Amino acid sequence: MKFERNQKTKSQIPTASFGDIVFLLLIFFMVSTVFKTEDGLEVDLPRAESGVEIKRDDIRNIYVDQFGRISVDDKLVSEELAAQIMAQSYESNPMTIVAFQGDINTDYEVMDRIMEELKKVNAVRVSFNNKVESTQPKF
Amino acid sequence: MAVKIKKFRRPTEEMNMSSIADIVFLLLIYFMVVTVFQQDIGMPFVLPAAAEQEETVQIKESNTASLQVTASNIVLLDDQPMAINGIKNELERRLLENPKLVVIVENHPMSDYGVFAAVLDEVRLAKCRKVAIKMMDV
Repeated sequence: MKFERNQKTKSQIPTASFGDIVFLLLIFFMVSTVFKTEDGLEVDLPRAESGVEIKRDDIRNIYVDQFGRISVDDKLVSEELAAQIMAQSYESNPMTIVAFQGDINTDYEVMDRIMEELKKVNAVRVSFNNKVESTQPKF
Repeated sequence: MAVKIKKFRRPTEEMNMSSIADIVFLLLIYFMVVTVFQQDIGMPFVLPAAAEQEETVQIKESNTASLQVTASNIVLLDDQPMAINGIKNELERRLLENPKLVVIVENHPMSDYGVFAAVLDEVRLAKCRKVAIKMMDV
């Protein structure tokens, strides 16, 4: 008696295209990802050697350009409004650091007015953001 | 008589592609781990809160170093003109003599923020812990 061999049917999923699919996914996410960024204003940051890295999560930027314009969250604001926005940030995150992205040619008066407003709302942790010192002269 | 013609068959040469996905994944994970997003660099400073400002602290004048930035961006250390990159050494020397030294950076409203930042950088490099910044009364 001849037994028929129980031959398992070979089932194979072709995996050759798997790599392409992963690539496609990778490229799709690379293209579609938009990092939350703030355009801010065009500023020429001062150069300094003593700068330290500041945790991104805690930063709220205040851009001050050479004409004394102030920008927070990509909106032009007054000193008072900037301080109010910062005060709200402080309520949700007491570790907030107000980072001044100031232009080297800004009059100090503008910065002082902002700082005075910040003091009023107790937003006292600030940072003067700078570029990393290069070999160029400091100022 | 039938002649059996053998069909010419190309030998199938297939590369094993199953490991490509692993390689891509590995690359993906490698770059995910290695990528460092550019951090913001800044000079942290804690402003005096409005509540604290009421209780003014008297500081002996001998314990202070007064840095002034004039409207024409000239830096004066205790009324003496000073090059910005000389501030660090001078303050370090003074700090050694008097560890209680308080540095007061006073800026003219019309002076440039960049000069202030440069001066503050020097003060920080000199490891002065007690720093006050204010605007000149004009």
